[in-house]
Amino acid sequence: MESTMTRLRIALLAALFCSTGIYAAETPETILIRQTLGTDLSGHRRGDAELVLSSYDEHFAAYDAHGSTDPRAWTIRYESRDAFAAYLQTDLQANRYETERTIPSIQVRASVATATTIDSGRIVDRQSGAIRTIKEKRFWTLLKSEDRWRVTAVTAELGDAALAASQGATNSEITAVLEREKEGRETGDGAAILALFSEHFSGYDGRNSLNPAAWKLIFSGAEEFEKHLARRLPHVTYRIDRKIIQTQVGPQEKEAIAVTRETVTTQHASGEAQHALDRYVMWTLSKRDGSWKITNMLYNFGQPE
Amino acid sequence: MRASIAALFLVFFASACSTTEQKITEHVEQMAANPIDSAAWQQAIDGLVVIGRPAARQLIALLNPDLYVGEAYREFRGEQEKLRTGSARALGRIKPRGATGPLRDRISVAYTDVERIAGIWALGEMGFVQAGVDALKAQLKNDKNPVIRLHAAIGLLKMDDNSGNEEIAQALSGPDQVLAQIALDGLRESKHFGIPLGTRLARANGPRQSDLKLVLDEVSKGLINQLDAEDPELRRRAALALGQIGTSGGIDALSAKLSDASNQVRFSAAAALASMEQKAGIDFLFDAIRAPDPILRTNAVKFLSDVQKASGAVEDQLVAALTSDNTLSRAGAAQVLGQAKVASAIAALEKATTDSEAQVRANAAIALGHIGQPSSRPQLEALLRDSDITVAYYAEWALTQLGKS
Repeated sequence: MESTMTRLRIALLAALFCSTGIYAAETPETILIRQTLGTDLSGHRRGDAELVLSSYDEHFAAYDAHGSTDPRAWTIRYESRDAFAAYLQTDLQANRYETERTIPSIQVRASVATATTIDSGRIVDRQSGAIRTIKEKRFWTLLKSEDRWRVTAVTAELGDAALAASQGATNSEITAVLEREKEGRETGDGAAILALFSEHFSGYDGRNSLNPAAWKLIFSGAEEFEKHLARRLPHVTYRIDRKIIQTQVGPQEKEAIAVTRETVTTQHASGEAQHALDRYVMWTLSKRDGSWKITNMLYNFGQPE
Repeated sequence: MRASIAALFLVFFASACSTTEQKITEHVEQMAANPIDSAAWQQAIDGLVVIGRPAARQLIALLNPDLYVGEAYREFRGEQEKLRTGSARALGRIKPRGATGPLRDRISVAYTDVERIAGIWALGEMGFVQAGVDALKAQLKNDKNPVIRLHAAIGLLKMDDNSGNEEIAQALSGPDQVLAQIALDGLRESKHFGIPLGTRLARANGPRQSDLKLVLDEVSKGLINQLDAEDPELRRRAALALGQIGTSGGIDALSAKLSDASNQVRFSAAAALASMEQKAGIDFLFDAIRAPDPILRTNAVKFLSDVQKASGAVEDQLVAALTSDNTLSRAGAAQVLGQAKVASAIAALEKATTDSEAQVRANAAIALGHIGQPSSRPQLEALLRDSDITVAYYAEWALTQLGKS
């Protein structure tokens, strides 16, 4: 009996390794992240919504890239985990997933991480048997809490499609948050800036690329950002010419995306050098406790025209 | 009481550390805040160099692009360039252990030319480290930018590696004034390492001979000071370099080094003086060639050979020494004439094959073998029947060398 159990354990371990895969430059964190993304895939393949949802953070939002990697084209798909769960139940009842997932890149910074995936295979309509072949690129952000990585956001249907038309800066609340962020920078008021950011926000440097795999994680949460501001603001005065190009708020007013284009210049307290740059910034915001907080900040995405 | 003293010491130590950290931060911010090569930027580097090794860890970190995230995030590439360039310049002056690897990683095309040049310069200043030599050789071989190649060549020269000498020579003979100025500055900074190349180029025909001579004059002043360096190796190299330049300005300082504590420094100073045909140096070496101590004699032979090969300044004295009353002088002179392949001494060496002392006959045979003139065959064949088997052995060897050179 005992030897049967031992064999079973070995078989389970082997199955876990095979399903997760071991890659070069792997770390314990990337293995755990692969497990989280693997669980999401397994849940879809088994039609098990509970298993899928176990990989998702309670504060979850999803975005639709509409076939583009340019954040100016992105829209909000799900504003919350509940909205995603409701969709998932229907989806898994209606469709059978026969898909595989490759994970080209994972980047970890303290308790936040990003990953890109490519899902390929087919989705079969359970009723009609109709088959839809897919090859879909996604960009994920994850948060580690209680020793587990969970998905906080996913941007689906990334691709090389042409940029969608701008939807304009129509939301005054989002505009006000971004204006306050700019004012905080210009006045050197770190506390005012920090108040606008969620505790577990992620900051990226897009490095003038539209390839999410090239985006570099630069801030992991508000605590690190606070240390940065405390170190930076006494030495540098910012001047930001910020144009809010578009804002988009979900129907439940829980999630928002904004894109700004800005010229940032600095003057240093210790010298005469001036530094300046033009950049696009994508912001995602969530309204959880009555006020909007920045959850993601992507500097320097794409190449300013 | 002891506890109070310990507590006071701890407080003092902690405050000293925090003051140093604070100063480093201030200098780093000043570096980030001022244009490269501006007075304020340079002043920040000078401040960091004064702090020295305690600042090195942070300077090495500032070279790394991965530093500029999180708490230390700086969004401007230009700001990073100021810090990376300044850190490399400071590290080149502080010369901390362990900086070669991080510097080597910042000289690729992923970095700006200003950053790369500062990194290459710093690698050169670090002195010989195999990893640094390999990295600079790769730039010298593969980089398309002649400025980078030239800086790599200068860096190698400072590491006592001559693989880039032709790159420097080309810069000095070519029409590009910018490259020529970099080469001149590089030779100036290379101190004794650049002297063999500098003197060779200064003696040849070329468009910048007067500039080169000015550089050599300037370097020789530095070398005279270097004769008083604590490190005997630096004193030795300075003495030899002064001999190569041949400037009369160094004669007094070199003469003073004939009584240096280091054997190698004394001989190098003597050789330098001898190549300038200074009696004090020549006498020193000829005294040493007949010294009872075999180490001194070996040194004398080596340095006299070098002097003779480089300048021919001791040829007459060597030939005259073959007829000295002192056996060691005759034997040593034969050895030097052979090593320096002095063809004009063949007749005197052939005569020495009949010397009464076997040691002299053997050395004369070896010398004739080195020179390799076929006309020496009868004298060497006569030695095959020498009563001393060592002499006969070397005569046989020398006969196999005739006509080869």
